[in-house]
Amino acid sequence: MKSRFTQGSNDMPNNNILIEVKELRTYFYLTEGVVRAVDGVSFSLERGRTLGVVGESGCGKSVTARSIMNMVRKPGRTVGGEVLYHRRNGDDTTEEIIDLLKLEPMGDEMRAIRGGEFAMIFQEPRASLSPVHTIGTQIVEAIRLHRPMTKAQAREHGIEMLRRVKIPRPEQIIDAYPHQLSGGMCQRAMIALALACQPALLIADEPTTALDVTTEAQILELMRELQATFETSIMYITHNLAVVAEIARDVMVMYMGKDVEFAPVDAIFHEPKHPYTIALLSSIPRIDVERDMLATMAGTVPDPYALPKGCPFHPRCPSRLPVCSQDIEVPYVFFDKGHRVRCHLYTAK
Amino acid sequence: MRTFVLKRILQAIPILFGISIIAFAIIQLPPGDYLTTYVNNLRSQGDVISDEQVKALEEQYGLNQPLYLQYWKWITNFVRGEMGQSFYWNKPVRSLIGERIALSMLVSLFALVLTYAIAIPIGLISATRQYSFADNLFTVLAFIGVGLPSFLVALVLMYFGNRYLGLSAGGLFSIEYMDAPWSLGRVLDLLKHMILPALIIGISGTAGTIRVMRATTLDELSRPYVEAARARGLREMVAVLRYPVRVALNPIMSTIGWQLPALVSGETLVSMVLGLPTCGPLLYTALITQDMYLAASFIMILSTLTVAGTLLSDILLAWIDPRIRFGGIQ
Ligand SMILES: Nc1ncnc2c1ncn2[C@@H]1O[C@H](COP(=O)(O)OP(=O)(O)OP(=O)(O)O)[C@@H](O)[C@H]1O
Ligand SMILES: [Mg+2]
Repeated sequence: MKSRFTQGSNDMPNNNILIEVKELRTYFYLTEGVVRAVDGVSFSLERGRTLGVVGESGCGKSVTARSIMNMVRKPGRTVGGEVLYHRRNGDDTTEEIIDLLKLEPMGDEMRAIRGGEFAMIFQEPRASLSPVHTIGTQIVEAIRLHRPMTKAQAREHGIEMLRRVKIPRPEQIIDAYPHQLSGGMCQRAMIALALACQPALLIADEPTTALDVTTEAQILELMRELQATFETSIMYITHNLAVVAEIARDVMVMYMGKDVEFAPVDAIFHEPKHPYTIALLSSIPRIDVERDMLATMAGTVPDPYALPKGCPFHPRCPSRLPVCSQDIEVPYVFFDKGHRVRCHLYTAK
Repeated sequence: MRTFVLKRILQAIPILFGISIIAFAIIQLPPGDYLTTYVNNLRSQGDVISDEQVKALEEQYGLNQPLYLQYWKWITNFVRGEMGQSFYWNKPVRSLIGERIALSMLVSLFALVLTYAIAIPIGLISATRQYSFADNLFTVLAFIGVGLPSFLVALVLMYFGNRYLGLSAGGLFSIEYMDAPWSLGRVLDLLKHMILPALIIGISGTAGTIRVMRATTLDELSRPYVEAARARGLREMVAVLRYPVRVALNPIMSTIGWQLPALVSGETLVSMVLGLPTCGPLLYTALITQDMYLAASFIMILSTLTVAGTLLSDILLAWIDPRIRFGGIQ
């Protein structure tokens, strides 16, 4: 049975799904209270596609990513939902569906998927590499963890991967330490490390936020190229909508742990439905608009321990209705092309 | 790496020079000419000392020469192992110090090894199980360990160790091995006698090292590269031991340098309480009795050892940490 959250139009049978996330909930149990970092997020991602995940700082993007990798640690816990991984065998003939959240987080099966089939790159490339080990040590380790290779073979493969991410003199750089490389080079090395085992999914958690604009453009270009060769699906987390426009095919907008809107990238930019998405779009500074016309959103992100009742956005929402502050889950409203929104404004339709 | 080692060795030379000046100044410290004091001492004990003998002694110590020449004479003799005469014991300093320095070093080294062997695993457990019962227990114990004066610990441990564990409570050798030649039995006897003093000397260092290990490991555990290692599919144990612990060990290595002086001074106190035939008690009496050649030799040797230890720990640190080896953390 096809889920309603599966993207693509309804008349086309869709069997190209890689992961389906359903009603994901991850909470942090702190002495000050419970933080509902991810509170009901559903989406699916097809093979070879890129999903952009956007939202303000603290809205739960990274926690969503870690939940998918099944590596949420105390005091956090994934308390509900499913992460269905449609795993194919080598020649794409058979497919099995695994709920990753049912696997033991540190068990062998989950660890084989983590790094082998799902890989991740992070916001601070240099800090994501051990300062006292060479790039090569870390790449070789990652490869040998998931592939039956000797050290020499893994090193060869590592050098090849460094070449693919366009690192100059890869034979030498493989023996370099992170502090000897620039941030951009470190991120390239991280990408090489992540893609070394040909993962089906690459989760990129703000991989260019710490880099300058030129390097960012180069990294984005590189990721697009590599995606074409490796046929990797990418979940690209950012709070930069311009980056999303460049790399993503679908976009999920998150607010306070909820997936408030999901749509193909064109629809997000041209027909945004959720008042939060609209506000987010109008906060992008544009050259053709006067600087002081810059729309800034009213209010700030609410206290994570005391979420507002009903729709979490209603205290800041310019078009709020009386129903928005009522203590009910905001329903999903579906439009065509997989566009969907969680907002009471559209329930009347 | 080679230039780094060379640079550090060159930097140690002025330090050693400074120390030797201080040691020499100590010799000059007591009021009056120490030879006069010495001669007076002997005469008051009824010895007959001729003026010729006094002249010869003056000649030997270069007392009639300017200060810098006296210094030069002293330091060159010192380097050759001629450390002068102990006025108090009336023996060459060298014969007094010999075995004691070796035993002191042995006890201190043993204490150092014990310190790390206890502190590193405990610090690690504390960090990986933060706020657990074990962590809280070790935290309390570590604070007590830092706070208690070592002589008190020495007395208490001596009592309990002797009473309930049959560990020897004083000296470094049993009577039958006291003046025996070296043998396996004597080594074992020495080890048995060393456990208590080493524990006592090491206790405050152990407590401190536990805190350092815990704090740095905690710090490192929350770094992105640990998360990245987990995301690669590493086992938790491997991810923790291979990465953050490896990084956290670096500052521990660099503490060897400042552990050494603490060990030496701790050793003095504890050896006096336990009556160990090491340098500590001898240095203490040397200072009390103004036995200046002996005191200066001790200070010179112990300081040199400390400088050497610091040098060694620096080189070790550079060896294990590429960020230092290649010049500065960015
Ligand atoms: N280890 C943790 N302990 C406690 N709370 C946490 C922890 N990790 C995340 N949170 C909470 O979960 C919420 C979501 O955090 P998350 O890191 O997913 O935000 P984000 O959308 O990735 O933000 P950013 O853009 O700043 O990276 C935040 O309110 C945060 O305080
Ligand atoms: Mg984040």
